[in-house]
Amino acid sequence: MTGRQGEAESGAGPAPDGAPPSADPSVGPGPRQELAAGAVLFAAALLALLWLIPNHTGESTSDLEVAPGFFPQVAAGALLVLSALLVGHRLIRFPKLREIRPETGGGAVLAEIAILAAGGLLVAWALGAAGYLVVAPAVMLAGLLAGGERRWWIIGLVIAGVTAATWFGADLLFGVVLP
Amino acid sequence: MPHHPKSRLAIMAVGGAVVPAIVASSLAVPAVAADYPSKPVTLVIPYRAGGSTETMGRVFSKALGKELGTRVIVRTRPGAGGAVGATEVAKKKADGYTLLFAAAVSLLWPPLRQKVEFDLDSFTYIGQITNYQQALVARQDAPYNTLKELIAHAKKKRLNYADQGAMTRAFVEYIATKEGVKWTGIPTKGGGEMVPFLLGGKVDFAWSGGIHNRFAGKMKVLLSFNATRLVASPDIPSIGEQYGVAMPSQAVIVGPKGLDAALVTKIEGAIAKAVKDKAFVDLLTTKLKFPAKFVGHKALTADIEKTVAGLKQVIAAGAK
Amino acid sequence: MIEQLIAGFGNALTVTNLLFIAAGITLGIVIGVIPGLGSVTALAVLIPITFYMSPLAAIAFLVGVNKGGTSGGAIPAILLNSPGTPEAAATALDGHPMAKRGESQRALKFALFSSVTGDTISDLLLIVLVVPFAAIALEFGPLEYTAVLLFAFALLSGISGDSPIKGLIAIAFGVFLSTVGLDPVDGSQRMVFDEVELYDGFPLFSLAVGSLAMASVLGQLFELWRARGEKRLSVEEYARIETRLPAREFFGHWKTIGRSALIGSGVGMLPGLGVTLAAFLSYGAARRASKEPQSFGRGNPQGIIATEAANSAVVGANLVPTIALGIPGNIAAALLIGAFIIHGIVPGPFMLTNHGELVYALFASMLMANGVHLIIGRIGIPLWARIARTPRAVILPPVLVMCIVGVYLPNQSIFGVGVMLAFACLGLAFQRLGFPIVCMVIGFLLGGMLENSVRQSLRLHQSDLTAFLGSPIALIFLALTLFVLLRALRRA
Repeated sequence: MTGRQGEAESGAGPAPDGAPPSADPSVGPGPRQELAAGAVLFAAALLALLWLIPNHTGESTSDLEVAPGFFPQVAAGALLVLSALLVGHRLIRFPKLREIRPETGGGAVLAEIAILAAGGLLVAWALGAAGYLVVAPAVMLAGLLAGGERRWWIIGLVIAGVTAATWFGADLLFGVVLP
Repeated sequence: MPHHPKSRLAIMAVGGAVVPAIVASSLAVPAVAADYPSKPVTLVIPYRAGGSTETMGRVFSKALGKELGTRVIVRTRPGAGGAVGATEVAKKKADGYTLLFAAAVSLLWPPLRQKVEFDLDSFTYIGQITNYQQALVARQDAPYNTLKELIAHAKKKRLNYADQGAMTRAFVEYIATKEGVKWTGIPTKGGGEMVPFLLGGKVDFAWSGGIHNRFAGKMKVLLSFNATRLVASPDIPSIGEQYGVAMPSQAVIVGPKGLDAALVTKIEGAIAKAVKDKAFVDLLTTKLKFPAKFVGHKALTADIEKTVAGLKQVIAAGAK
Repeated sequence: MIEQLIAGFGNALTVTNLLFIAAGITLGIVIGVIPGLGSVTALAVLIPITFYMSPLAAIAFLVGVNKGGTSGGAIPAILLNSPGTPEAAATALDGHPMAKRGESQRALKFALFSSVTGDTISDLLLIVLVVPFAAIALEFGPLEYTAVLLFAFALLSGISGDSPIKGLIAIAFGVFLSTVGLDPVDGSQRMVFDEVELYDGFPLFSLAVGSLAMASVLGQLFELWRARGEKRLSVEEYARIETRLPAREFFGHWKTIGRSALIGSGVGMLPGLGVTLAAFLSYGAARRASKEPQSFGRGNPQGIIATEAANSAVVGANLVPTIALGIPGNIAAALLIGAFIIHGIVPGPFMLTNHGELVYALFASMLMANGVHLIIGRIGIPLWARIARTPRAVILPPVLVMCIVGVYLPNQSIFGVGVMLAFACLGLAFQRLGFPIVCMVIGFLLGGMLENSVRQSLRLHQSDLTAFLGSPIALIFLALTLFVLLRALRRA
């Protein structure tokens, strides 16, 4: 559902003639993006090993077994080695390896993540501050518009219907009052 | 307390003419309680839905609602062994509309041993409705029948036991320190993991939060971890008798600190009546096998203080 | 046993009971469809409703909920590539590509039929094995679990297929994430920065729903956005769609069905391993056994069969430790135990002797529930398939909102929603860069279990590794692990 999805996506979707992949696969990021990803992961693992784990895990309290930091270290160490391998592989056997091509360019990926991160922060904040009845319609409106839906009556119907259904459903079935 | 000025105004309006301020403030307190509850009360339960405490709380909330004359909404807020829900309630306004139903452990242990945003004084203890039946248990065919015999065994051979979290281990280790033995705690995630470890012979004995009641004939109780003896094993001594400390065993209803005295009395009264509710008693005693044991605000507060003193003693012994 | 079972059917085969089963299954499926809500939440919220039913009706109802909730998660996984629960993630791997080929109804049928078959096999195993099994389950201590989990890791590392390094990276990352939270042994803080909501670690459902379901939906929305919307589909375009799934074709996959049902039952009988592990082990095993492993992940129906048969098989088998020992096999079974107790039935070694009649009525209800499940699920398929025909631009935004609601409901935690949103970002990044996010989720899930068992073993045996020699079960699984690893190395 990840790299494979890209390929399936360009095949026949539920919309056989809709949603063609926007970016040309040949200019897709492929190895270069993988290099970047590997480097980022390597840096993250290094940070975890050198700063996060030593400073934010407890001391060993027992001579019978490993310290609390042991498992995080093993995982971060594995991450370090593996991401180094990934980078190394890409540098040495650059063209030969199977290129998984995300259908978007590097900039587009960064833009997507940035939009999502900002949106996510906004939603998490607004859920506490303004409540579900504001957030749910806003999220759906953004989603519908992004998806290219322009018919106002469909937008209105979906927003009102889903918001009301989830709100009352949560209360009646689950006994939970959404924020 | 923010509601005082408002109710004072109300009293003056009702009284119409000049009411001496000093009388007004003394009258204001009953006035707060008089119109309580004017909206639904939220009962926070800081454990996952479906557990015994949550089940108990849900049935109890119906009875409590009947006594208070309002709807009591249950809100489960699990996490960190109850500390997440406790933090939430500790920060709420002390108006009687947000209450917490929890094991006293969840309110007492975290402020002593973990970093949390509430402390021992963050809550007003309104009432206790039952006791957890905590015990030290062993397999039925184990070669020891009493704590004394267990300790004698432990002097010959290093034993393993299953604990369920830092506090349970602290208490079992406290016994070891007092008796000069050494044994090893194996952390297990709740009774569901402890039972197969014990019955399968992976550990020699175990701490049990009450699940042993379902395994009569397969497990035996060596010691009650409560201040008093357990309902089901009246012949087995308690850690309170033997060592003068006890694990918090109270299942309590609390509010945020600074709850108005008149409100406390009112809610306490409702709890006292609600614990006699037929459906609740039936669930508690015949199905969950807990004793229905109501303790009021004053006695409970004193009891909690005593429990905290014992906890501190156990923690101090562990630190050495 | 046969007579007891017949007597059980006599007790259970009433109209009210059937109605309760049907209601349970329907509710279970509907709740299971919502991302983030699986059978666990469905059970938790519906147990209070059963307080006022008769014990048998209550348990039949809850069994229905459990079955429906487990299979309902497959529906969004197939139709929208947004698995609502971690256990349905592997269903999406092949189910969604099938749906994209216009075979959504066939994929749903594969999922339903496999669920019901796997479930039935496991129920039959439960009935036969419940007594002898009690002894075996007690043999499993921390050492044995460690060995089983190592074996699971070895099997699962092959699941990423095309790009093993990326798969391993995702697994390592997931394991690392699993170590955040209070230390399982001494309760000290590990990378939680005093945040009390993180003390239990990242909430599994937030992580899984965010990185799997929400990331996938958001990714599709971004694609729509760049494509400037999609054309609406006319009915004619669906003329070529294949909806038929003859019984012969389905049962042609009997090997996969049988293997998966056995894996699911085996995992289910061991307390604590859980549905998701069963689903992925079975998927991995099917891929390994296949002559064309590269066809997996591209709409091979065996992928759906393997996952759904296995995760539904857990449901029945999970009751083996529950009934034989009183130990819950997983959270769903723990909730069922809670419900049993409320109805005055004490699960445990004495359940069969004290409540034998009820237990056999329960078995009968479970078998009946499978039939009812088949009927209700079959009726539902054309309705669900209609969703696939709705333009994606209309159906996806509500799914986003459902993710938020689904994650909020069980714990009522805005923090949990925040974690989900964060993992949605991460999930999308992983997806765009071709890292298998599923491996991260499985690493997260297994990492916590492995650490727990390893550290229990270390304490129990005082770090003495030779303890493994004393446990034949552990040795067998270690040998299997070595075998799998060596075979993978030789192939590479």
